[in-house]
Amino acid sequence: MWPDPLEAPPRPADELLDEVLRRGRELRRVRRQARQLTWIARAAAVVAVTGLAAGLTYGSTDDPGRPRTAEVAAPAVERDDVPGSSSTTAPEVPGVPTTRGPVEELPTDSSTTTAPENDSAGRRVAPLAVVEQRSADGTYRTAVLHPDGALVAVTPATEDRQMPVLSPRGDTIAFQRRAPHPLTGQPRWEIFTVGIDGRGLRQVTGGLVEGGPQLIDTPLGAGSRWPSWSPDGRRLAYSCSGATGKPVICISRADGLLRSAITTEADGFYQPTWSPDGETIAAKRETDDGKVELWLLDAAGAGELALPVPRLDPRGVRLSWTVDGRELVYAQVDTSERGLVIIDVASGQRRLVLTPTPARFPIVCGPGQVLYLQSDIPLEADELRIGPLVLVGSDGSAPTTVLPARPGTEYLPSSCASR
Amino acid sequence: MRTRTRHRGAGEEEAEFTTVFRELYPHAYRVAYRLLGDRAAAEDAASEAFARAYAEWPRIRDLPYRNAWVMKVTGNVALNVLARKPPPLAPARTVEEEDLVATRMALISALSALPRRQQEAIVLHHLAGLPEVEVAAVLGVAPNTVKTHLKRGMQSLRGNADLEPSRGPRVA
Repeated sequence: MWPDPLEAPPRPADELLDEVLRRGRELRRVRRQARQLTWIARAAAVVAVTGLAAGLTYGSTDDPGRPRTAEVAAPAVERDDVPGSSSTTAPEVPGVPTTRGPVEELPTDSSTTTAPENDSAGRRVAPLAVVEQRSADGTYRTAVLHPDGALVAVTPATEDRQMPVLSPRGDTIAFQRRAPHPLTGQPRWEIFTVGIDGRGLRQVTGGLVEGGPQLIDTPLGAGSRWPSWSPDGRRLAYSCSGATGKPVICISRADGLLRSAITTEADGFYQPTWSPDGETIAAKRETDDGKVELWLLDAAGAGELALPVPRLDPRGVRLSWTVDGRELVYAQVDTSERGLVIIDVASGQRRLVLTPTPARFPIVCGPGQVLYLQSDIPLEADELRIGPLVLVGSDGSAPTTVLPARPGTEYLPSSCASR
Repeated sequence: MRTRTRHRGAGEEEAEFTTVFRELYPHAYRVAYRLLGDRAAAEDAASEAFARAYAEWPRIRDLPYRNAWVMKVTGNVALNVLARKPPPLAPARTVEEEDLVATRMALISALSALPRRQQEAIVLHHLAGLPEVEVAAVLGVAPNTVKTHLKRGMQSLRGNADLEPSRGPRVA
């Protein structure tokens, strides 16, 4: 051991005990207050929504002075895919059927249908999940992996990632794709929703709503990306462009209305992921050296907290909450240690769970289960990662192939409904 | 759904924490001091680690690697202090102390250059004296992974020309 006489503490432990207990109680009090603030904010949100029902609505998100409470009377907005509504108002997007007029059913690709393996009891093991299919021509499509093993494409092919997420009820998919800005005509990212049967496509962000709040986003910035459902399936969180085009985290109703920003452009947060209890949103923030920090945001905008983990390589770090909301899961990028990284959000403590096969893009699929793409191809490689989708215990046990590999197609797990 | 731990009274909880604090604090202080080389900063780091432990006590008190958890937090707090700003070291008074200070500074510099997981493994094993199995438990990795981190970390430290194995910390 180090022969240093100074290693004896300068003060006995008893002298420090009161100080430590006082600081520990303060830490507990701060955490308790944060939880209480969240509850107060949620109650305020309920009051605001109640006020809306009486004829109130929000102002524009892009107004820096925009209040976060109801203040301006406006006529109710009606859309034909919202229960109780009667008219269609969503804008048309070239190449994308909208809610205007008869609903057009998107073509499904029956050739992609396959069957999963059975477990030892002979039961189907595939969860209801959404995956992205990347084809050899570089296009992406969103497909639904049904528990019976059927894989059905539900969106048209696009040249960019769609980042689809399945609603908690498992009936609707939110995803991103480029659409022209209603004023400039320039393509930018917008959020869309579609039923898992491919019907009811609608644009959530960036559209003009006749007779209602003019939810025209700023033409600056990339637009709205990375949707994430609230646990009750009524709201979406996503990255949207602030007044000067830099990303902020926005929360809106699933139809795009009642949008508010819970962060500022100076914060720099993006890619939100809503926690299972609805109180917290995990998000990333890019640092000057090109890496990312992980943060926890109060879903009511009451504050944020940095997870005490080192800055991460942003490649492939897509966060997925465990069902109990106590941990976040992502894939280990370091090729020397292949597996799942699981972060305890309370302490920031990380542990590596080695998986029996190389794991990419893991998502939590129900209690204690993770679905991932089996692939050993480095993230920087621009080639198809052809491999099966594997369901494994969160401790790395009992791996089961739920979707076999198919030549010429890369499957990227996106979200599960079984949480 | 969040799991609830068995309820214990505040008095019982505080008494339990106090016992652990008295037993473990000198070790935590030593780890912090070996990293920081400054008595006041080491006391602050160890105290902060125990305050965080108290805040999380209902969750960690029954963990099999509870003590290792505290040592890890202590190491992380100290490493974070170093990452922000290396603490000023007390002026040496003798040649032997000068050697010690120089070695400590070299060790801190070399440790800071290691990947975080290697830093943690070396701090917990070589500075806190925890067995590899316990280091593996608190880091949430397999014992063989700890061995790998230790081996790679030590190789990097040995490759540092400023660290002489014949004196200073026994990192070899």
